Amino acid sequence: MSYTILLFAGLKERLNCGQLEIELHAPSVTPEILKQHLIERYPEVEELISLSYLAINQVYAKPNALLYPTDEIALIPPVSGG
Amino acid sequence: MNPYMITYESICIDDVVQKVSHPNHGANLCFLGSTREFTRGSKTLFLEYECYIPMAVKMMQQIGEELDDRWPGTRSAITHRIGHVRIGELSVVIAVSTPHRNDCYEASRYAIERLKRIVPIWKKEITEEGSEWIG
Repeated sequence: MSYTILLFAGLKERLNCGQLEIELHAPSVTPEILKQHLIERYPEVEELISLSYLAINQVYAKPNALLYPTDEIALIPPVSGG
Repeated sequence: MNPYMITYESICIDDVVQKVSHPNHGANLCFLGSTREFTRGSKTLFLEYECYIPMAVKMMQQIGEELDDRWPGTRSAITHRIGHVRIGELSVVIAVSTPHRNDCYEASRYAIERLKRIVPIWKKEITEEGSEWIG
């Protein structure tokens, strides 16, 4: 199953792309597991991924949430608006 | 007009304030966030804001709901600017109105603190030494 993850700010700049595609042999995944897979593939941004939250369909994902390939998934690094 | 907005243009304070005006509300406050030239001793040339726009609008709506839960009847409006913002310009305007001033001060403070925690907007400071995403 292919998951698409939107990137912003420092993550987008350091990985030099606005979104990632990741293949997982699972029909759904929790935020923590998805972050672990991303860290394995992009160890150069491990710290920033660890500090980031996942959003599902434009809402912060709860720890026990399930993310599906059809969801709009985004990795939200620490915010700094205002 | 939507009370919660993201814009690339400079913000008109009056437009935001007018959205919360109410005949039974005797207290109106407006928080103005502007870009700072010196942060931690370093001179900033300008700022660049990035935003996950649909989620940012949802989170600002959520802040409005939280204000109404805590101080029932509170009206609020938030406009955040993104893109290139020069020093001293407004980056965010938050207007709040309530029947009485005590709730208004508390609600105004709550709104900006929540915005800085949950709204997916990021600022990049461009200084003489280079640039850095803050967060």
